Amino acid sequence: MQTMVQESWEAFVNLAKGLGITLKQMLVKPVTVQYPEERVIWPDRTRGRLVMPRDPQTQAHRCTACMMCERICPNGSIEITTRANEAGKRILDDYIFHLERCTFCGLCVETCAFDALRMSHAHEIAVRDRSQLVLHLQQENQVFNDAWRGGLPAKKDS
Amino acid sequence: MSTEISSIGALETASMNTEEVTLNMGPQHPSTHGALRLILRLDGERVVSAQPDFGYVHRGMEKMGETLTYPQYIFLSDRIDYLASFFNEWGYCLAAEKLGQVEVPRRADYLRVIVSELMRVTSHLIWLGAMGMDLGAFTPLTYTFREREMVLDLFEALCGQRMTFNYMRIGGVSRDLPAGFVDKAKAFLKYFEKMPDVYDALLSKNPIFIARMKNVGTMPTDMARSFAVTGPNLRGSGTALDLRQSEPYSVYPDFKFQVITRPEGDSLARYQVRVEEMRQSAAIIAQALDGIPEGDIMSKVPRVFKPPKGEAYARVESCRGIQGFYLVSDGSTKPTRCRIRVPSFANLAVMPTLLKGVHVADVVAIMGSLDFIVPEIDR
Repeated sequence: MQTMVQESWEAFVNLAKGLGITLKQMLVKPVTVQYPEERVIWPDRTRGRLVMPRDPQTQAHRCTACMMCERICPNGSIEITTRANEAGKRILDDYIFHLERCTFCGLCVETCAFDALRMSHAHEIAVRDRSQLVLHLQQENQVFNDAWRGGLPAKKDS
Repeated sequence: MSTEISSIGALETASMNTEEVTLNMGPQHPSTHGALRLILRLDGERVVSAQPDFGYVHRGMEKMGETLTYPQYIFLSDRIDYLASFFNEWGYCLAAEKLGQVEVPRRADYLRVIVSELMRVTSHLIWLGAMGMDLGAFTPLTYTFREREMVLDLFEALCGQRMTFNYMRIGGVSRDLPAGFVDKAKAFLKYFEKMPDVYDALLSKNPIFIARMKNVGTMPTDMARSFAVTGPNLRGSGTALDLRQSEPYSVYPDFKFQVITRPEGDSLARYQVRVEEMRQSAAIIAQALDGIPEGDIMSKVPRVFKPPKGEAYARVESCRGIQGFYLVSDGSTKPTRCRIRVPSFANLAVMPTLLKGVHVADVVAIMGSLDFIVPEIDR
């Protein structure tokens, strides 16, 4: 009888302690971000959709069609076609980026010797049709340049 | 204890006309933590036999290791055990470095230790919350996930992703610490210092929780060793096997920490080992943050990594046990064999023995306390 009362009392005290913790935590400021009304500020290195940064003056990209990114991509999400320009030099014809296959590992950006690729912070990339996931990076309407920080992380450590 | 149980079972069957019922638990059961199916044969409330049926998340990780080059596979190894990504990367890189005889700079090793120990904390946090939730305590889950998000923010600032990092490279790591990382990590450690006490007050001292964990799923140390159980499950059975101390790799000899063991071997012991391990990991991170040396983060590795002919096996102490990678090279850019030793597989293998004769309600407690990750079992 004695031990039973003692045990019940201890159980009651410990349950009350647990409830006290819950009460204390209720008064702590919540960390929840009410997405989409509120947004978090992404760190510089956040990896989102692949883009080709452009030169602000000439609007030219820096891709030389060396195919390094196509070779390193583990999922085959990059397809590059080339053509010869007037001087007979091999240049980029079409840079096809299959967003549906991309895992955002960032190997393409890392391997690029000409700094022609960046991972943007674009993350709301759901579309209604699968064909919209095949992107042609060299003819994108939105021009991403080096100065634009709305989602472009620096390639090297900033 | 076990004779007592069987005698009660005998009494029940003697007085009543009962028959065995087969119950499918899973593959969509919330407490199987992924798609795992348990075929339970029940006699009333008692489990007569349990057979795990796995393979629902099989992705062919080992075969894919043969079709991808060495640097390409690192991003995939994140996905073997998605709660211990850094350990998978580390194990693979260690094996590849052994094959190619690549030295790793000291700073890179320190970075690897920091991120891996942070990963151990997050993994144990998730386990703690899920364990509580399996037993009906929902509140700890919300707290542990809050703390985990703080660590994930650190990871995101460091390597740009929250779960599948692709951070380590053969011969080092891909990114150096961003500005303010050390301060933020120290602030987290300071905040985290007292959090295990909060969980303790919520769970460890809760009489309902103790009643459901104590003497449930007792795994004697002999049984654990015969099934090759490793990690906190083995240490909860009284064997102090921790690769970080018994077979130190990387820069672990630099750090002072305890290997936590409990002799009881029941679910509560495994629980206590993990909560203590979070504290020890925090201590390692604090030492590593203080002692991080200056220098390179990558050693000179040829752009096309071609290790010489041979084989290598490297293993790390992941948050679930020993994670091993066995690579065979034929001198080309891709391994000819990539075998992965996962701790969860052995931890699952002990389940049929552990579950014999327990109550149905205890199945969830035992499964939760073993802490396995199903995608890792299936790979």
